[in-house]
Amino acid sequence: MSQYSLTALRPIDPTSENTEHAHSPAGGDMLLLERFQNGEDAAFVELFDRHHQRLFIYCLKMVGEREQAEDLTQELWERVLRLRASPQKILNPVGFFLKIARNLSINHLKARRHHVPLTSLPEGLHPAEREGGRSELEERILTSLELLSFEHREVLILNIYCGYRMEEIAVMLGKSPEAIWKRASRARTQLRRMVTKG
Amino acid sequence: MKQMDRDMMVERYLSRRMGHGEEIEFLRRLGTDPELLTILEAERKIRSTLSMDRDALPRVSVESRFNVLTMLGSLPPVESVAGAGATGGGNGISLLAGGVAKGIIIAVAGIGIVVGGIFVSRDGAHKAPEDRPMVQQASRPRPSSLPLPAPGPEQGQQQEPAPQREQAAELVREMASTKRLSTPAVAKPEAGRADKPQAVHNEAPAQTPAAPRADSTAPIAPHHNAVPRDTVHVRVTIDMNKLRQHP
Repeated sequence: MSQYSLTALRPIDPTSENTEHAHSPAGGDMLLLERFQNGEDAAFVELFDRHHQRLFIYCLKMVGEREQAEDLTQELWERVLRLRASPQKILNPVGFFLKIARNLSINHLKARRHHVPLTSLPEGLHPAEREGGRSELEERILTSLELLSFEHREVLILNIYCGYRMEEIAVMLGKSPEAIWKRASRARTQLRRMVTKG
Repeated sequence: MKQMDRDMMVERYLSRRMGHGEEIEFLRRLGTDPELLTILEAERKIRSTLSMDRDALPRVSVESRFNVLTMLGSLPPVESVAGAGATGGGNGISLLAGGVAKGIIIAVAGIGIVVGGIFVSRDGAHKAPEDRPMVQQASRPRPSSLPLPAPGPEQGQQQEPAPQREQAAELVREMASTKRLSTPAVAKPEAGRADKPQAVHNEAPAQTPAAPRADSTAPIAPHHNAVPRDTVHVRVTIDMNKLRQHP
Protein backbone atom coordinates (compact mmCIF):
# COMPACT_ATOMS: atom_id res chain seq x y z
CA MET A 1 0.00 0.00 0.00
CA SER A 2 1.52 3.27 -1.07
CA GLN A 3 1.65 6.27 1.25
CA TYR A 4 0.60 9.78 0.29
CA SER A 5 1.51 13.11 1.74
CA LEU A 6 -1.45 15.10 3.00
CA THR A 7 -0.51 18.36 1.38
CA ALA A 8 -0.04 17.43 -2.24
CA LEU A 9 -1.45 13.92 -2.51
CA ARG A 10 1.66 12.73 -4.23
CA PRO A 11 3.14 9.29 -3.62
CA ILE A 12 5.92 9.49 -1.11
CA ASP A 13 9.16 8.28 -2.53
CA PRO A 14 10.85 6.19 0.15
CA THR A 15 14.22 7.21 -1.25
CA SER A 16 13.37 10.91 -1.27
CA GLU A 17 15.62 11.51 1.73
CA ASN A 18 18.53 10.03 -0.13
CA THR A 19 17.66 12.03 -3.23
CA GLU A 20 17.57 15.25 -1.25
CA HIS A 21 20.82 14.28 0.39
CA ALA A 22 22.36 13.64 -3.02
CA HIS A 23 21.41 17.15 -4.16
CA SER A 24 22.73 18.82 -1.02
CA PRO A 25 26.34 20.02 -1.04
CA ALA A 26 27.44 17.15 1.20
CA GLY A 27 25.50 14.64 -0.88
CA GLY A 28 27.00 16.09 -4.06
CA ASP A 29 30.44 15.67 -2.57
CA MET A 30 29.60 12.11 -1.67
CA LEU A 31 28.55 11.32 -5.23
CA LEU A 32 31.64 13.01 -6.60
CA LEU A 33 33.87 10.98 -4.32
CA GLU A 34 32.09 7.80 -5.31
CA ARG A 35 32.44 8.64 -9.00
CA PHE A 36 36.14 9.32 -8.47
CA GLN A 37 36.58 5.97 -6.78
CA ASN A 38 34.86 4.36 -9.75
CA GLY A 39 37.49 5.81 -12.07
CA GLU A 40 36.17 9.25 -13.04
CA ASP A 41 39.01 11.74 -12.79
CA ALA A 42 36.80 14.74 -13.55
CA ALA A 43 34.87 14.10 -10.34
CA PHE A 44 38.06 14.43 -8.35
CA VAL A 45 38.93 17.69 -10.09
CA GLU A 46 35.52 19.08 -9.17
CA LEU A 47 35.94 18.03 -5.55
CA PHE A 48 39.39 19.54 -5.54
CA ASP A 49 38.21 22.87 -6.93
CA ARG A 50 35.37 23.02 -4.44
CA HIS A 51 37.45 22.53 -1.31
CA HIS A 52 41.10 23.11 -2.03
CA GLN A 53 41.24 26.80 -1.21
CA ARG A 54 39.27 26.49 2.01
CA LEU A 55 41.32 23.53 3.20
CA PHE A 56 44.48 25.42 2.36
CA ILE A 57 43.26 28.39 4.41
CA TYR A 58 42.42 26.05 7.27
CA CYS A 59 45.93 24.57 7.22
CA LEU A 60 47.49 28.00 6.81
CA LYS A 61 45.71 29.43 9.82
CA MET A 62 46.34 26.34 11.91
CA VAL A 63 50.08 26.02 11.21
CA GLY A 64 50.82 29.64 10.30
CA GLU A 65 53.22 28.98 7.42
CA ARG A 66 52.25 29.15 3.81
CA GLU A 67 54.72 26.59 2.47
CA GLN A 68 53.84 24.10 5.17
CA ALA A 69 50.15 24.69 4.56
CA GLU A 70 50.58 23.93 0.87
CA ASP A 71 52.51 20.79 1.68
CA LEU A 72 49.87 19.65 4.13
CA THR A 73 47.06 20.33 1.67
CA GLN A 74 48.92 18.41 -0.99
CA GLU A 75 49.43 15.53 1.42
CA LEU A 76 45.71 15.64 2.15
CA TRP A 77 44.77 15.25 -1.51
CA GLU A 78 47.34 12.53 -1.91
CA ARG A 79 45.53 10.58 0.78
CA VAL A 80 42.22 11.18 -0.97
CA LEU A 81 43.72 9.89 -4.20
CA ARG A 82 44.69 6.68 -2.43
CA LEU A 83 40.99 5.98 -1.97
CA ARG A 84 40.83 4.75 -5.54
CA ALA A 85 43.14 1.85 -4.70
CA SER A 86 41.12 0.98 -1.60
CA PRO A 87 37.61 2.40 -2.07
CA GLN A 88 35.53 3.35 0.95
CA LYS A 89 31.99 4.54 1.41
CA ILE A 90 32.38 8.04 2.86
CA LEU A 91 29.14 9.73 3.85
CA ASN A 92 30.68 13.04 4.89
CA PRO A 93 33.51 13.86 2.48
CA VAL A 94 34.16 17.38 3.78
CA GLY A 95 34.34 16.06 7.31
CA PHE A 96 36.69 13.39 6.04
CA PHE A 97 38.90 16.02 4.36
CA LEU A 98 38.83 18.19 7.44
CA LYS A 99 39.77 15.27 9.64
CA ILE A 100 42.82 14.61 7.49
CA ALA A 101 43.74 18.30 7.45
CA ARG A 102 43.30 18.49 11.18
CA ASN A 103 45.47 15.43 11.89
CA LEU A 104 48.16 16.67 9.55
CA SER A 105 48.11 20.09 11.16
CA ILE A 106 48.30 18.66 14.67
CA ASN A 107 51.17 16.39 13.70
CA HIS A 108 52.98 19.30 12.15
CA LEU A 109 52.45 21.49 15.21
CA LYS A 110 53.65 18.72 17.50
CA ALA A 111 56.76 18.19 15.42
CA ARG A 112 57.43 21.91 15.33
CA ARG A 113 56.91 22.23 19.04
CA HIS A 114 59.40 19.46 19.70
CA HIS A 115 62.04 20.38 17.20
CA VAL A 116 61.77 24.09 16.42
CA PRO A 117 61.66 26.52 19.32
CA LEU A 118 59.94 29.84 18.76
CA THR A 119 63.20 31.72 19.09
CA SER A 120 64.70 29.88 16.14
CA LEU A 121 61.91 30.86 13.76
CA PRO A 122 62.92 33.06 10.82
CA GLU A 123 62.26 36.74 11.32
CA GLY A 124 59.28 36.86 8.99
CA LEU A 125 57.56 34.02 10.80
CA HIS A 126 57.95 35.36 14.29
CA PRO A 127 54.57 36.58 15.58
CA ALA A 128 56.08 39.77 16.99
CA GLU A 129 57.63 40.76 13.71
CA ARG A 130 54.88 40.12 11.22
CA GLU A 131 53.90 42.46 8.48
CA GLY A 132 53.14 46.05 9.37
CA GLY A 133 50.19 48.21 8.38
CA ARG A 134 48.06 46.98 11.23
CA SER A 135 47.18 48.83 14.37
CA GLU A 136 48.35 47.60 17.71
CA LEU A 137 44.85 46.39 18.54
CA GLU A 138 44.61 44.43 15.32
CA GLU A 139 47.96 42.79 15.95
CA ARG A 140 46.82 41.93 19.44
CA ILE A 141 43.64 40.36 18.12
CA LEU A 142 45.50 38.19 15.61
CA THR A 143 48.09 37.14 18.16
CA SER A 144 45.36 36.30 20.65
CA LEU A 145 43.66 34.14 18.06
CA GLU A 146 46.79 32.02 17.84
CA LEU A 147 46.87 31.66 21.60
CA LEU A 148 43.42 30.13 21.77
CA SER A 149 43.07 26.41 22.34
CA PHE A 150 43.12 24.28 19.21
CA GLU A 151 39.39 23.49 19.27
CA HIS A 152 38.31 27.08 19.84
CA ARG A 153 40.62 28.41 17.19
CA GLU A 154 39.46 25.74 14.79
CA VAL A 155 35.82 26.74 15.06
CA LEU A 156 36.58 30.41 14.48
CA ILE A 157 38.83 29.66 11.53
CA LEU A 158 36.30 27.35 9.92
CA ASN A 159 33.57 29.92 10.42
CA ILE A 160 35.28 33.22 9.74
CA TYR A 161 38.15 32.30 7.44
CA CYS A 162 36.86 29.26 5.57
CA GLY A 163 33.28 30.49 5.40
CA TYR A 164 31.53 27.38 6.68
CA ARG A 165 28.28 27.90 8.52
CA MET A 166 28.00 26.60 12.09
CA GLU A 167 25.63 23.86 10.96
CA GLU A 168 28.14 22.71 8.37
CA ILE A 169 30.94 22.77 10.93
CA ALA A 170 28.78 20.68 13.24
CA VAL A 171 28.36 18.04 10.52
CA MET A 172 32.05 18.15 9.66
CA LEU A 173 33.14 17.71 13.25
CA GLY A 174 30.41 15.22 14.10
CA LYS A 175 28.88 17.44 16.80
CA SER A 176 25.47 18.93 17.32
CA PRO A 177 24.90 22.49 16.05
CA GLU A 178 24.25 23.65 19.60
CA ALA A 179 27.59 22.29 20.78
CA ILE A 180 29.35 24.11 17.96
CA TRP A 181 27.50 27.32 18.70
CA LYS A 182 28.57 27.06 22.33
CA ARG A 183 32.15 26.33 21.39
CA ALA A 184 32.24 29.30 19.02
CA SER A 185 30.70 31.54 21.65
CA ARG A 186 33.29 30.51 24.23
CA ALA A 187 36.07 31.04 21.71
CA ARG A 188 34.88 34.57 20.97
CA THR A 189 34.51 35.34 24.62
CA GLN A 190 38.02 34.13 25.38
CA LEU A 191 39.42 36.07 22.46
CA ARG A 192 37.62 39.21 23.51
CA ARG A 193 38.86 38.90 27.06
CA MET A 194 42.41 38.38 25.89
CA VAL A 195 42.17 41.45 23.69
CA THR A 196 40.55 43.72 26.26
CA LYS A 197 42.92 42.58 29.04
CA GLY A 198 46.02 43.16 26.92
CA MET B 1 24.02 40.88 35.08
CA LYS B 2 26.77 38.24 34.92
CA GLN B 3 29.68 38.49 32.54
CA MET B 4 28.65 35.26 30.80
CA ASP B 5 25.18 36.62 30.15
CA ARG B 6 26.66 39.74 28.57
CA ASP B 7 28.92 37.64 26.32
CA MET B 8 26.04 35.50 25.21
CA MET B 9 23.83 38.50 24.49
CA VAL B 10 26.51 40.18 22.38
CA GLU B 11 27.17 36.95 20.56
CA ARG B 12 23.49 36.44 19.81
CA TYR B 13 23.05 40.04 18.75
CA LEU B 14 25.97 40.07 16.31
CA SER B 15 25.08 36.71 14.83
CA ARG B 16 21.48 37.89 14.37
CA ARG B 17 19.98 35.13 16.46
CA MET B 18 17.85 37.42 18.60
CA GLY B 19 14.14 37.73 18.28
CA HIS B 20 12.56 41.16 17.75
CA GLY B 21 11.59 41.67 21.38
CA GLU B 22 14.91 40.40 22.65
CA GLU B 23 16.76 42.76 20.33
CA ILE B 24 14.80 45.78 21.56
CA GLU B 25 15.53 44.78 25.13
CA PHE B 26 19.27 44.43 24.29
CA LEU B 27 19.45 47.90 22.67
CA ARG B 28 17.68 49.43 25.65
CA ARG B 29 20.18 47.77 28.00
CA LEU B 30 23.14 49.10 26.01
CA GLY B 31 22.29 52.61 27.17
CA THR B 32 22.35 51.65 30.82
CA ASP B 33 25.18 49.07 30.95
CA PRO B 34 28.58 50.54 29.90
CA GLU B 35 30.31 47.17 30.27
CA LEU B 36 27.92 45.62 27.78
CA LEU B 37 28.72 48.44 25.35
CA THR B 38 32.47 47.81 25.80
CA ILE B 39 32.03 44.13 25.04
CA LEU B 40 29.98 44.90 21.96
CA GLU B 41 32.57 47.32 20.59
CA ALA B 42 35.42 44.88 21.24
CA GLU B 43 33.55 42.09 19.53
CA ARG B 44 32.84 44.26 16.51
CA LYS B 45 36.50 45.17 16.26
CA ILE B 46 37.55 41.53 16.49
CA ARG B 47 35.19 40.52 13.74
CA SER B 48 36.25 43.27 11.41
CA THR B 49 39.94 42.51 12.04
CA LEU B 50 39.49 38.81 11.36
CA SER B 51 37.52 39.62 8.21
CA MET B 52 40.30 41.89 6.98
CA ASP B 53 42.88 39.22 7.77
CA ARG B 54 40.80 36.68 5.88
CA ASP B 55 40.58 38.89 2.81
CA ALA B 56 44.34 39.41 2.84
CA LEU B 57 45.11 35.68 2.86
CA PRO B 58 46.87 34.36 -0.23
CA ARG B 59 45.27 32.16 -2.84
CA VAL B 60 46.65 28.68 -3.10
CA SER B 61 49.46 28.49 -5.63
CA VAL B 62 49.02 27.13 -9.13
CA GLU B 63 51.96 24.84 -8.52
CA SER B 64 50.10 23.09 -5.72
CA ARG B 65 47.14 22.45 -8.00
CA PHE B 66 49.44 21.22 -10.73
CA ASN B 67 51.16 18.77 -8.36
CA VAL B 68 47.88 17.27 -7.17
CA LEU B 69 46.48 16.93 -10.68
CA THR B 70 49.74 15.32 -11.79
CA MET B 71 49.31 12.78 -9.05
CA LEU B 72 45.78 12.21 -10.29
CA GLY B 73 47.08 11.61 -13.80
CA SER B 74 49.57 9.04 -12.57
CA LEU B 75 46.88 6.90 -10.96
CA PRO B 76 46.39 3.50 -12.60
CA PRO B 77 43.04 3.19 -14.36
CA VAL B 78 40.22 1.36 -12.69
CA GLU B 79 39.84 -2.06 -14.34
CA SER B 80 36.04 -2.19 -14.34
CA VAL B 81 33.04 -0.88 -12.48
CA ALA B 82 32.12 -4.42 -11.54
CA GLY B 83 35.51 -4.86 -9.97
CA ALA B 84 35.11 -1.70 -7.93
CA GLY B 85 31.72 -2.92 -6.75
CA ALA B 86 33.18 -6.21 -5.68
CA THR B 87 35.70 -4.43 -3.49
CA GLY B 88 33.01 -2.59 -1.62
CA GLY B 89 33.28 0.82 -3.21
CA GLY B 90 30.23 0.60 -5.45
CA ASN B 91 26.54 0.42 -4.88
CA GLY B 92 24.19 -2.52 -5.07
CA ILE B 93 23.77 -2.28 -8.81
CA SER B 94 27.47 -2.60 -9.46
CA LEU B 95 27.63 -5.56 -7.10
CA LEU B 96 24.81 -7.18 -9.03
CA ALA B 97 26.54 -6.43 -12.33
CA GLY B 98 29.71 -8.03 -11.01
CA GLY B 99 27.82 -11.17 -10.03
CA VAL B 100 26.07 -11.41 -13.39
CA ALA B 101 29.34 -10.93 -15.25
CA LYS B 102 30.99 -13.67 -13.23
CA GLY B 103 28.02 -15.98 -13.93
CA ILE B 104 28.23 -15.33 -17.65
CA ILE B 105 31.96 -16.05 -17.70
CA ILE B 106 31.47 -19.31 -15.81
CA ALA B 107 28.62 -20.35 -18.13
CA VAL B 108 30.63 -19.60 -21.28
CA ALA B 109 33.60 -21.52 -19.91
CA GLY B 110 31.34 -24.47 -19.09
CA ILE B 111 29.82 -24.48 -22.58
CA GLY B 112 33.29 -24.30 -24.07
CA ILE B 113 34.40 -27.32 -22.07
CA VAL B 114 31.33 -29.34 -23.09
CA VAL B 115 31.66 -28.42 -26.79
CA GLY B 116 35.36 -29.14 -26.71
CA GLY B 117 34.68 -32.51 -25.13
CA ILE B 118 32.14 -33.34 -27.87
CA PHE B 119 34.64 -32.49 -30.60
CA VAL B 120 37.33 -34.60 -29.00
CA SER B 121 35.02 -37.57 -28.59
CA ARG B 122 33.83 -37.26 -32.20
CA ASP B 123 37.42 -37.16 -33.42
CA GLY B 124 38.23 -40.25 -31.43
CA ALA B 125 35.13 -42.16 -32.60
CA HIS B 126 35.48 -41.49 -36.32
CA LYS B 127 39.21 -41.99 -36.64
CA ALA B 128 40.71 -45.09 -38.09
CA PRO B 129 42.52 -47.15 -35.46
CA GLU B 130 45.90 -46.20 -36.86
CA ASP B 131 45.11 -42.48 -36.60
CA ARG B 132 43.96 -42.47 -32.99
CA PRO B 133 47.29 -42.00 -31.31
CA MET B 134 47.99 -38.95 -33.42
CA VAL B 135 44.53 -37.49 -32.72
CA GLN B 136 45.06 -37.92 -29.04
CA GLN B 137 48.41 -36.30 -29.29
CA ALA B 138 46.92 -33.40 -31.22
CA SER B 139 43.88 -32.85 -29.09
CA ARG B 140 45.60 -33.00 -25.73
CA PRO B 141 47.23 -29.59 -25.65
CA ARG B 142 44.46 -27.70 -27.40
CA PRO B 143 42.34 -25.45 -25.19
CA SER B 144 38.77 -26.64 -25.51
CA SER B 145 37.27 -23.16 -25.29
CA LEU B 146 38.97 -21.91 -28.45
CA PRO B 147 36.75 -21.82 -31.54
CA LEU B 148 37.66 -24.14 -34.35
CA PRO B 149 37.84 -22.49 -37.76
CA ALA B 150 36.33 -24.10 -40.80
CA PRO B 151 38.75 -25.62 -43.32
CA GLY B 152 39.67 -23.13 -46.00
CA PRO B 153 40.50 -23.73 -49.64
CA GLU B 154 44.22 -23.32 -48.97
CA GLN B 155 44.17 -26.17 -46.53
CA GLY B 156 42.30 -28.34 -49.01
CA GLN B 157 44.87 -27.59 -51.70
CA GLN B 158 47.73 -28.59 -49.46
CA GLN B 159 46.31 -31.95 -48.42
CA GLU B 160 48.61 -34.89 -49.07
CA PRO B 161 47.48 -37.77 -51.30
CA ALA B 162 46.11 -40.91 -49.65
CA PRO B 163 49.18 -43.16 -50.11
CA GLN B 164 51.37 -40.56 -48.51
CA ARG B 165 48.99 -40.33 -45.57
CA GLU B 166 49.23 -44.08 -45.06
CA GLN B 167 52.99 -43.86 -45.17
CA ALA B 168 52.89 -41.03 -42.69
CA ALA B 169 50.70 -43.03 -40.35
CA GLU B 170 53.12 -45.92 -40.52
CA LEU B 171 55.99 -43.66 -39.75
CA VAL B 172 54.12 -42.23 -36.81
CA ARG B 173 53.55 -45.71 -35.43
CA GLU B 174 57.23 -46.48 -35.85
CA MET B 175 58.17 -43.34 -33.99
CA ALA B 176 55.66 -44.09 -31.27
CA SER B 177 57.12 -47.56 -30.84
CA THR B 178 60.58 -46.06 -30.43
CA LYS B 179 59.16 -43.72 -27.74
CA ARG B 180 59.81 -40.63 -29.75
CA LEU B 181 56.14 -39.61 -29.59
CA SER B 182 55.14 -41.28 -26.35
CA THR B 183 55.09 -37.96 -24.49
CA PRO B 184 53.94 -34.52 -25.63
CA ALA B 185 56.64 -32.40 -27.15
CA VAL B 186 55.76 -29.58 -24.82
CA ALA B 187 56.65 -31.63 -21.78
CA LYS B 188 59.91 -33.01 -23.24
CA PRO B 189 61.01 -30.76 -26.06
CA GLU B 190 63.70 -31.89 -28.41
CA ALA B 191 66.66 -29.65 -28.85
CA GLY B 192 66.10 -26.90 -31.37
CA ARG B 193 62.41 -27.60 -31.87
CA ALA B 194 59.95 -27.05 -29.06
CA ASP B 195 62.36 -24.77 -27.28
CA LYS B 196 62.06 -22.26 -30.08
CA PRO B 197 58.68 -22.69 -31.73
CA GLN B 198 58.84 -19.35 -33.50
CA ALA B 199 62.11 -20.30 -35.15
CA VAL B 200 60.57 -23.51 -36.43
CA HIS B 201 57.71 -21.52 -37.95
CA ASN B 202 60.16 -19.45 -39.86
CA GLU B 203 61.77 -22.54 -41.26
CA ALA B 204 58.56 -24.06 -42.63
CA PRO B 205 55.83 -21.44 -42.85
CA ALA B 206 53.90 -22.89 -45.79
CA GLN B 207 53.24 -26.36 -44.45
CA THR B 208 50.21 -25.45 -42.40
CA PRO B 209 47.78 -28.40 -42.50
CA ALA B 210 48.66 -31.65 -40.84
CA ALA B 211 48.40 -34.62 -43.11
CA PRO B 212 47.01 -37.18 -40.64
CA ARG B 213 44.18 -34.79 -39.73
CA ALA B 214 43.10 -33.96 -43.24
CA ASP B 215 39.92 -36.04 -42.96
CA SER B 216 39.02 -34.74 -39.54
CA THR B 217 35.84 -32.72 -39.03
CA ALA B 218 37.77 -30.35 -36.77
CA PRO B 219 40.82 -29.27 -38.69
CA ILE B 220 43.79 -27.77 -36.95
CA ALA B 221 43.76 -24.02 -36.86
CA PRO B 222 46.46 -21.97 -38.59
CA HIS B 223 49.74 -22.29 -36.75
CA HIS B 224 49.94 -18.70 -35.55
CA ASN B 225 46.99 -19.00 -33.17
CA ALA B 226 48.32 -21.07 -30.29
CA VAL B 227 51.58 -22.60 -29.25
CA PRO B 228 50.42 -26.15 -28.34
CA ARG B 229 48.84 -26.70 -31.78
CA ASP B 230 52.03 -25.45 -33.39
CA THR B 231 54.00 -28.03 -31.48
CA VAL B 232 51.94 -30.88 -32.91
CA HIS B 233 52.09 -29.35 -36.35
CA VAL B 234 55.88 -29.18 -36.28
CA ARG B 235 56.14 -32.80 -35.37
CA VAL B 236 54.09 -33.90 -38.39
CA THR B 237 55.97 -31.60 -40.73
CA ILE B 238 59.22 -33.33 -39.94
CA ASP B 239 57.57 -36.65 -40.73
CA MET B 240 56.62 -35.37 -44.16
CA ASN B 241 60.19 -34.30 -44.77
CA LYS B 242 61.37 -37.78 -44.01
CA LEU B 243 58.81 -39.11 -46.44
CA ARG B 244 60.12 -36.83 -49.12
CA GLN B 245 63.67 -37.99 -48.48
CA HIS B 246 62.55 -41.64 -48.98
CA PRO B 247 60.00 -41.61 -51.79
